[in-house]
Amino acid sequence: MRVLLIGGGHSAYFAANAIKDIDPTGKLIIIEFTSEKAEVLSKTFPFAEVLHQEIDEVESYIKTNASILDALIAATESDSLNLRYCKVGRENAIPLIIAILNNPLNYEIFAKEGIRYIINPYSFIPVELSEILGSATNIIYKLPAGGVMLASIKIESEEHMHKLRKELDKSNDISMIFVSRSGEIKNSLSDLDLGGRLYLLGSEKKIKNILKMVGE
Amino acid sequence: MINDFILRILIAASVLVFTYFISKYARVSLERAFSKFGVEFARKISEFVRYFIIFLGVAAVVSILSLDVMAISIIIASVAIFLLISMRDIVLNLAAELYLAIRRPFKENDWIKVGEIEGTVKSIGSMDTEIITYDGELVIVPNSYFLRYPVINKSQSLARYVELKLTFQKGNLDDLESAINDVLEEIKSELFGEPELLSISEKDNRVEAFISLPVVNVRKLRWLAARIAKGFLARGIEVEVE
Repeated sequence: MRVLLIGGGHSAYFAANAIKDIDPTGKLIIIEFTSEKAEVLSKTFPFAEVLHQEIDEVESYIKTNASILDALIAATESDSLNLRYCKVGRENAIPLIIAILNNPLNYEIFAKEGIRYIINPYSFIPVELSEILGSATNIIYKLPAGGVMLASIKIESEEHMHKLRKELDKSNDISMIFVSRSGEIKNSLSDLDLGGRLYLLGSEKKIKNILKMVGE
Repeated sequence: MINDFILRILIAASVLVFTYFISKYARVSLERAFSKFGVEFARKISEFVRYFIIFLGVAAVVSILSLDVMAISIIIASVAIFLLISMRDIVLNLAAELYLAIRRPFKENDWIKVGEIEGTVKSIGSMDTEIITYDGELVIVPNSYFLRYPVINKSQSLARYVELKLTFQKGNLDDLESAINDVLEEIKSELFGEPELLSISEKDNRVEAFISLPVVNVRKLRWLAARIAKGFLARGIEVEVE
């Protein structure tokens, strides 16, 4: 796969390594704006083709190569630049356009511009805090494609446990495991006990329905 | 007689005021309700309903004032029918926009096939949709087209498996198979997975081979075909790629 990664900062570093793992034989092109950084990048990522380009030259590179690029990942340290490049990629029908956010508050702006894949590197802060601090319900992960959701629910009362059992008995398309208060991992509804956590994996719609039914 | 006329005018004025407020309320409520289908779409629907309510209000006022409702209705109906017939395509396109907004059969950047047209959706407008074919041509498809032909959305999986036919002048099958595998190895970095040699056989003094390429960007095919031909040429083999 031919992937264009724009940027040479932390986000781009992790993206480049991930791409190498996912598609070891693929073609990765990295564009960086400063010559010094471009030089460092070409040594850090010898498997990639590193180009040093001015900010305004990138758009023309995208337009020229749009018909052979499979993916564009905008990972510069400026969200406005990322949005600019994503828009050019979208207008030139590159199949996969991925933006890596610097400021999570800009998510909606990207979404409104029709950017389908927006990675928010900060999204795990509230998730991990919720797990550590024992929040009642926690949406751990929502897959960007496919509408799959992973949620964790703390069993707080007998009534809560009864409701959950009732709802889950009816749903045979949700996978679950239960982690008891003592840390044991179980996979049967009959093992639910107070203070433990139930982890549900299924479609976003089904999981949300269950959370609603049990009053979360 | 004069009292009766003044009363009619007062009632007509009240109906007009009532119509104005109802149409305004309907516009705001509908805009909010339909906003999930897009701001522009919500605005159009709410404007349409607003004007329809105003039209009903005016018809009621005419009736209250005892003007010749029948004549006015016939004129309005004739104008409406004339507009509907003369702007049939525009009306169809608007109906299609409604269908696209509610059903959402595809999104921008999806790879779709509709009728004879296949390509990446560049943009979805209120009247037409822009599609870039794998030849790189921009096709502007009126939205009404999507009401007439089934839409096949091929974007469910990232990679699409495309078959290419390679035709060689007669040669040794084993040598050609080995050359094909070498050339496929050379273009592997452009693909989303392993390319595959599906079959190779002799036919009418020629050798035909079919290969399968997993590609993400189907527009790349022409470029890939050129690279494949170049790869064989470098090995002294002439090939036709289809």
